[in-house]
Amino acid sequence: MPKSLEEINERIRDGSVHVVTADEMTALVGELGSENAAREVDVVTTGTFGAMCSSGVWMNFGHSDPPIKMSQVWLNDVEAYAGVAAVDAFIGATQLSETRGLEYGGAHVIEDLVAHKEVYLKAVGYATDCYPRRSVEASISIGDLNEATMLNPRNAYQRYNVATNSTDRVLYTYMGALLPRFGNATYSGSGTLSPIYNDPDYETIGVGTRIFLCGAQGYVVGNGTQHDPANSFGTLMVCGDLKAMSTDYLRAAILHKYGTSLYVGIGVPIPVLNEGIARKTAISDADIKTTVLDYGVGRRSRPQLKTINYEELKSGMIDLNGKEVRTSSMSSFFKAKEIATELAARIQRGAFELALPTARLPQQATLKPMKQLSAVPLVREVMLPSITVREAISVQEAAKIIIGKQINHLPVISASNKLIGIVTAYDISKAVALNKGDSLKGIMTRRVVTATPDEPIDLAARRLERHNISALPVIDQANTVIGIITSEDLSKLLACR
Amino acid sequence: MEDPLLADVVLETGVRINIDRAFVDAYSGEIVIDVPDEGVEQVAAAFRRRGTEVREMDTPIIFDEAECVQCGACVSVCPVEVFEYKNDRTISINLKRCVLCKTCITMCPHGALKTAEE
Repeated sequence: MPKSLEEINERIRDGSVHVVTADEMTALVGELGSENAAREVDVVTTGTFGAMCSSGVWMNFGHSDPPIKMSQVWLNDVEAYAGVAAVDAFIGATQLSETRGLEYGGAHVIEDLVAHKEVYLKAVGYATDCYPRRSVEASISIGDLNEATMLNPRNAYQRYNVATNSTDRVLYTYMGALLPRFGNATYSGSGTLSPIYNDPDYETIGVGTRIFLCGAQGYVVGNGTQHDPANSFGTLMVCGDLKAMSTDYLRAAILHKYGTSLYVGIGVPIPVLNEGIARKTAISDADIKTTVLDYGVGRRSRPQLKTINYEELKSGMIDLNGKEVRTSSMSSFFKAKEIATELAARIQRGAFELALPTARLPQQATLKPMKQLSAVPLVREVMLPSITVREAISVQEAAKIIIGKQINHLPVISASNKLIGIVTAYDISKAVALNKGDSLKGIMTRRVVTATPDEPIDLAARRLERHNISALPVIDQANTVIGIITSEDLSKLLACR
Repeated sequence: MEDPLLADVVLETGVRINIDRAFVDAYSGEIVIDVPDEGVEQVAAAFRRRGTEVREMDTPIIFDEAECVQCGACVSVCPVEVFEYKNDRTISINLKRCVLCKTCITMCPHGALKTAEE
């Protein structure tokens, strides 16, 4: 009963191959059972189209006359990495333009190249006897490059987490804008069409597997970075010839206030060699679970709120702690299906043959965190004692404290020692100018932005920046002020790191 | 800006106006209102007579189909559900509901949504 790959490729060549997309296979296996489906179907095509930040292109520009050894190179003001030989460089999707910031990045350069647009090249290098030139500029398009090889270190995530936001402010992330107080939840991944989920034991997806990559034929190079198969977070490293790709399946993206990314279209064909493979390609959206994470917590390990499956996510609404939260996908299922369908069509007309791996991908991998040389200090290690006042005191008294203690911020506390507001030296000056001298009640800011003692100072620094303020009272769980951390203290510290 | 223009217009025309958004600062005020089709001309004239600049927004948001990849990122951020996934997972757009909060514009990763001015 088991088929060989050679038999399947023979059927591709003579046009008798039976190929279906992974969602169609799910229905077929449901109808016929996996044994019959394995007999009937030769190839199952999978697909995905979403933001794949870990993507980029190796380029060779050819030599200038006189020759230059590029030490730094920019394409449309986006820096590419040139620390390899003389005229080789790698441009990454998330590198931002030095002149256009968050509006244009490596991903846009890559899309512009595929669209046959002219791109402005600028390079500098230190002169050597064999590479005497120091700088070069050119306007090039993809045809002028010797090679343009897409090489993406981490693509086609098996599945991905769901993002939501518990804080009071909108968060701008690589999962899009997350509205406050669980206002929405975003997810990514093609569910039933997910390449790795259709071959979770890496029987057919491995080194050298031929794939559909942005419209061209590409290959799996190996496992992607952060490959975590045991936890169903497998990834792929893929390569392909950029010159054969199409902007139908490759698109630069701008994630507002986050940065740029590249939407990559990948389709992986799975040869149905035996009943076991057929059974595994029957996976459905409901079978694929993932976790809702709170991106409101800016730590590596984010709170896990709930386990959910892709069918529930695609219903448009999920329940989080009794609240109905609307969901949307950052990846395009429609395009994933288009890719799986197009790959099936190419196989059907004999334009795409399959290849078995030359080496299997690891099924075990340990995902390690970064080993940091220095721990980030916590707020408690850096905060200073804080003077606090009651709201009934006069502006005059507050002014005296500010001058006497040489501080700029005065947290205001209630009779039971809870934080109820804050006044700054500026607030006091304004009150004096407007003659509002009675008490702090009318002039203090009531919605105080605070810090907690056990958070890393980087989070405190980010909070100061986001709210455009210069100090955070540090409070404990009972809302008592236990210290204060100012932007002045933080900048002295961060300057030394 | 001392007079309650909106109230005056409603009292004068009797048209049931819905306020979608309002911005008022030290220098100016701008409101986005939803007016039933039959009352549009009357309400616009009433505002103009009072020295207000009136702009009719038939297309509050412009959708660029060529840029759209049908991801649906816009779906979960729209407060009035302009966007919806259809059965084939393409996105349907009902611009009549738009209140011009512009969240979808920043949410779209592919720049497929723009205001009429841009």
